Amino acid sequence: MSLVIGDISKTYPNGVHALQNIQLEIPPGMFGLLGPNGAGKSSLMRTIATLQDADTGTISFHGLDIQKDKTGLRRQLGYLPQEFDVYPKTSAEDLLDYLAELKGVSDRKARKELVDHLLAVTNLTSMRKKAVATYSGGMKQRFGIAQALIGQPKLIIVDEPTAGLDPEERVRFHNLLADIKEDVTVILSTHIVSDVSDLCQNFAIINHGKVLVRATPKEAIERIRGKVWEKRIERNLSNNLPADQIISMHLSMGDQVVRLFGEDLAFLGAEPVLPTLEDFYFITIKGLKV
Amino acid sequence: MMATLWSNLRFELTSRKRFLSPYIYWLVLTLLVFLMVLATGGAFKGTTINFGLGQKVFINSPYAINLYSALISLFGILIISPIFGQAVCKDYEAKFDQIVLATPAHRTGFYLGRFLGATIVCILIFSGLALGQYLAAALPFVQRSLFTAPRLSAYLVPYFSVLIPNIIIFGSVAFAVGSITKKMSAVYIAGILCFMGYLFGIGLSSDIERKVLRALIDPFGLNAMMSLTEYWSVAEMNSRLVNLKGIFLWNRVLWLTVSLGFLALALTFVQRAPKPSKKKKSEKATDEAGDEVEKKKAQGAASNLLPNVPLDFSGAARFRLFVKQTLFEAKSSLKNIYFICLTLAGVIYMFALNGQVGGKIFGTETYPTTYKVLELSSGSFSIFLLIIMTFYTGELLWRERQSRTDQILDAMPVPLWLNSMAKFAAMQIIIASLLLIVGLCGVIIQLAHGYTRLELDQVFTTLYSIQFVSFLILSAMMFTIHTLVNNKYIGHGLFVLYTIVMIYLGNAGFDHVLYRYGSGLGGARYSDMNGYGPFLLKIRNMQLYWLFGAALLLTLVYLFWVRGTDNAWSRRCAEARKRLTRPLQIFVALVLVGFIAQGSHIYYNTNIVNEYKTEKQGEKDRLAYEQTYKAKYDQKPQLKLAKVKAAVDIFPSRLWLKSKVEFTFDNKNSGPVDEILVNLPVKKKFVNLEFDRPTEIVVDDERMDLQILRFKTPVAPGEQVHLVYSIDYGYEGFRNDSTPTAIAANGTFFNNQSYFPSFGYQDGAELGSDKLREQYGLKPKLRMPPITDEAAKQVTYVTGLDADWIDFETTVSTDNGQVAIAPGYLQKDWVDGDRHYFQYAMDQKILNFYSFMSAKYEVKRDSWNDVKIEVYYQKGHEYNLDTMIDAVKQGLAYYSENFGPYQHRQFRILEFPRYATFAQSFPNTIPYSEAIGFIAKVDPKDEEDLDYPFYVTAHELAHQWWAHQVIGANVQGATMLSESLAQYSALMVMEKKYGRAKMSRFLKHEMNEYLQSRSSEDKKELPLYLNENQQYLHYAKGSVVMFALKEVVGEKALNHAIRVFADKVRYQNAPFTTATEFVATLKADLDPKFHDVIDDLLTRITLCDNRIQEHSVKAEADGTYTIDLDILGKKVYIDDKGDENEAPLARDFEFTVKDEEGKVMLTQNYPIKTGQNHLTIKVPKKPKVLWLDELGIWIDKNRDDNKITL
Repeated sequence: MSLVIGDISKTYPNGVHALQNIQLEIPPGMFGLLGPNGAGKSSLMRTIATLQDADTGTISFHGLDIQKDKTGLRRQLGYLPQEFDVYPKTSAEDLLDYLAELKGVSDRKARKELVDHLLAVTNLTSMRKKAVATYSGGMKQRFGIAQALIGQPKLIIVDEPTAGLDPEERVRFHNLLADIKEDVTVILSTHIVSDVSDLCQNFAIINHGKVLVRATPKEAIERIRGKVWEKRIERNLSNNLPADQIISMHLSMGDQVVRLFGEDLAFLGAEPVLPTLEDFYFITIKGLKV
Repeated sequence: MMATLWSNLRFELTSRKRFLSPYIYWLVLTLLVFLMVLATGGAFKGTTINFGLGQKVFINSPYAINLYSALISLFGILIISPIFGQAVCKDYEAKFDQIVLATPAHRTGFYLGRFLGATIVCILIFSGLALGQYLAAALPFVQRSLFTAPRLSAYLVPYFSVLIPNIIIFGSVAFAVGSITKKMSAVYIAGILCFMGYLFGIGLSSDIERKVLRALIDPFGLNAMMSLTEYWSVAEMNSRLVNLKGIFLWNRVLWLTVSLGFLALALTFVQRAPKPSKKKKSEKATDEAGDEVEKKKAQGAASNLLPNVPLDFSGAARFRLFVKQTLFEAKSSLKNIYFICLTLAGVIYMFALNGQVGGKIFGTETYPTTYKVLELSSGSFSIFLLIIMTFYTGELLWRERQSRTDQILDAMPVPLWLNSMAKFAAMQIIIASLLLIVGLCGVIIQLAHGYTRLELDQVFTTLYSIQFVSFLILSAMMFTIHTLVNNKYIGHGLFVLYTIVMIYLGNAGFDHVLYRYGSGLGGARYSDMNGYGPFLLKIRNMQLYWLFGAALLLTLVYLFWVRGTDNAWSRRCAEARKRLTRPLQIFVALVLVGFIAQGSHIYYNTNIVNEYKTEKQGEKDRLAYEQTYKAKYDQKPQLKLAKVKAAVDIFPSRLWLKSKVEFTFDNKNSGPVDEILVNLPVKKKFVNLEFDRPTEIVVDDERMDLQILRFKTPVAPGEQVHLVYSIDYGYEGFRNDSTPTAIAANGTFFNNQSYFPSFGYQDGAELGSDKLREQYGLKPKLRMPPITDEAAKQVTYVTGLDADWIDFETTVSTDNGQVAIAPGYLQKDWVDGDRHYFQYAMDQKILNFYSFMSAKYEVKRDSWNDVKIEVYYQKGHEYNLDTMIDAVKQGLAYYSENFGPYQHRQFRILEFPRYATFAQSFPNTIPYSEAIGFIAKVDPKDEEDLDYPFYVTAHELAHQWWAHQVIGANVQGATMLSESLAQYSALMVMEKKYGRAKMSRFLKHEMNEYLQSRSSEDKKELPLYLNENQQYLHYAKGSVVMFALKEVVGEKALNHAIRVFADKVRYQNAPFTTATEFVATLKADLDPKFHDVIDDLLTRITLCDNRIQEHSVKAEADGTYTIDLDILGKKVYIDDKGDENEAPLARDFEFTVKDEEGKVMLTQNYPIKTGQNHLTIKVPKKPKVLWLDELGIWIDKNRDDNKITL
């Protein structure tokens, strides 16, 4: 395990229990942190990124206590916050150069090469002279990941990077992340299930500041195999399906499609379907039981 | 539209209701004005602040309430701007604009509603002003005598004349700026620029010519109000409401119109939503286009997404990073548009003020010497510098968080000290660059004036080694406040509060440099003669001390620096404890040791080597002096000084003085004298007293430096007593209060009152201010004994109780290379080792008032008849030597012809450093400050320039007659016999040289000075012949009325009468003469028809208020013109209570008509009487200017309506 989160809790001054006894062991590779808005994902990410301290508990990265030696972690950290902006009127090139210097790349030539390289891999070379503040959402996120890649980070934290991106940009972003070497620990927080299913070897679901489950995507789907059912109902008809078994509802060609969770729901007129990670996510979040 | 307006108005009010800030603003304003009134009202014992209010003006008089309201509204802009700015900007700042603007609401109504809402909120906030003033005035512990009965209207009027108009004016500016830029920071800058308008207004020199412009340009209306009321008497200030009239009304109309323009502008601009920038689209396009190429590149690179780069976290790399980071931070501030705007405004302001370097004296410039230019530039720029510092401390500290880059940057592997200290260092670069601008502008100003004697070393020392350090130390405090409170706006607020508290602490008697952060770092007065003189010693010591202090503060900044997203106070404290590592603890301990050690060194200097006395202690000492000694010693017969023989050794290089003085006393009383009260000039350990008969010390008062000795055998009438007084004293270390400068390395100047003892009770040492006296339970003090006081006529007003005329001789020595000078004729001089001795003797009696000087001098010599003229001056100050000598020659000629012979064979002018700015007349010796005549730049071609080196020299020379020959008794009116007559004498010499027409400029200044000063009179205005050593009377009014008298009775006749008086009283012994005798002599010598005008001018307070009511000009067939005029004549006397009473006017006034080229076509006297006067005047050409009393010899309350320009 590379990152060990040991029983951390955090209560904000306004009384919100943002994190409650979080325990997680995260191996190298891509790790997804899945949860709805307000689940505590960002609090956890910021804590790992040394931007805030937990009230109790420890976090260690390859044996380094990150709350004690913050600079030690920061030297191997790449961080893309959920919300960020940049200084107005500053070009991507200048800004990356500046950030690279802050990250310890003090040799001017090496820095120039690195910046050129990062701009190339994030597809921003033609835009390098433009002010980052004028970038579109997707370009800005690519810039964000470029800066997070500076200085061979061993730990990369990307907080909700795909929120608000169009499908094409999302794919582009996924490709970028997928190229990161395997010995690097990448933590990706998201509320979009396909981010996890597309990219992550491991993931955890977190809600109300608690870890609900930690698994690989495959394991997760296995766990609910054969227990997911689907029923199609005309839209204006009221349904009297058992609420504690509904995973999700959506519309399809004007009809309402309801996915249900249970051992055998054929008696309701539902048909068995292949489970998805999304089903697992909703089941976990809603706490549905067989 | 109306519905939208109404709903927005309501929204503005209800949404404000939930914020804390309006309530805080209200509280702060109310408290501020409350404390102002309490402080002026004497509620805090020992403080005498008056915010520009005369002592006799009631603190709740209409005038005072208006003044305070206007002053507060200067600060009110800090409240008005954000409230109105937010009324437009809040939608944009909260990114709510698109939602709001998408509603179908009527835009004009929408924003008009917001505007009105903001106006109401502001009015409610300002409602505290009247309340605060009223409550403070009603409290039982204010001094009742300073208040009058409250009047509701007095409290209400300022709202309509000042406060509400200002809210609308500045509100509309903020509203317009907000709607154009949609940015609050721009709104703040606009507010600051408005404040500059006020500064510009007062900065537009004190030239009378620009009075109207000055009043109009100030958007706050304060200058206009001051202009309207500048000649108001105390009685008027106490009773008249400051209604909107005249220039004040015009100011308000002008600015309200301007504000309507701003509002219209705002309403036009808010119609347009901010356009989504076109640029963005085109950028996107290029992005797509370049995509394909890039994709390939990216695929190539992707194999190595995290390339190997050398990472360097060594100390050297960190240091390089620190330097770079500092430059980065500084550059981003310096490039900022607001920064450039503010700096430009400052520079313009600096140039505007420097148009007349150093504040003109009588409208005449001085040469732009380096120190003058520096003082003016940095003085005028310092307010900008402070504002920029305050503003950018906030910007620097909040830059990352505002641009929301903070999360990325805080996660960087950069040590904490690097972030925080780079920002601090960046602030120092900002300050240093601004000071560089000040220096450059200074040099440019000098060159622009054609002055090429640049002293860059002085520029550097003043700006960098003195001012920069003090700004650095101040900025450490700003950083600390901002870091600790961690809220930009509260940080700014607290800093302003801190500044006010620091000022108040000083006024409240907490004045020690050790605990007033950043104090004692300035106050150096550079002199061409003496360089930085004694000031640097204290400054360097204080710099070291406060740099230690600043280092401690910066440690706090480091400890509490916010990094990351968690900024709960408990968390920050815990974090701070963690950051306080062992090495840092050692650092803090070392700095603390340094701080305490240096503090002790300062304490040793200020409190042990020198005496530390607060102002309040000083007051109490004076109180004790009066209460302990007055009753017994004030009227007690005492010995009179007859002869002084002084051996004075000045050691300029050591700032030391050794002296041995033989005093010879006579007992001129009818009975024996058994005691002598000696006031020592310094602590008794430095002096020694030895009488030639046995004495015992009966009182030894160390607190007051006073001894009373009893003669074992009383001194019989007619008997003589000798005293040998020695002093061995100098300046050691430095003091908490002002640095003494009388003994200087180059330019020593002191008189006998400084370092020789005085004998007998000195009523000048009593508390003078009536307000303070009342607080201490004393009766008001007479400024001078009444003119009828027979006992007071026994002494002159210059010398006091212990002496009048004395025999004088002295030997003065100084360091070789300097010249030492004292009154008298040089008998011989010799060099003994490194000392140069000068022996002076006076061949006749002089007043007991003499000076000693020593400096490295150049000398210019000349002579008039058998009188030797010598000017001792600093090399480089040759500019006006010829003028001075010319004035001496002409003066000697005029005065000896008209007033009697000159009593000496020699006349010397001696330059001394500008620590004081006067010239003073001692027997045949005139110490003359380097700041007033020596560097005056009189342009002979400039019509407006007044040759004041000539005037001052003539005035001081005249004192050889008026004071050193004719000296008044120590009663009311005494200074009329010295100062007013010296003014008259100088005026006559000036008129001879420059002609009568040129006198108008001088008279105008004098009349203006008189009219302005009489309204801030502390006690009571008196007629000239009863004046109580009041400058505005004996100089300003004296000049005008003596000139007027000359105009009426004629120069010859007046001089004859004055000569008769002089001959009668010259070198008189006690009892001395009075102004009563002078007036009586004039009346006796002049035609009785002049008696009434003599009384009007000298024994009454007489003011005219004439006015040209109607005028018409008719062109005649023969090419001439006929002018018809209606003139309203009015004359008033001011009675004992200060009230005006109309009196019949019947006097000839000169009337001048000028043609279109400004040439005088007609000057003729016409009789003007009270009421309507009709004049018909014929002139040959088309008239342009009609002017009643162009010269300005009759004091008129409003001279503007005496002139018509067609």
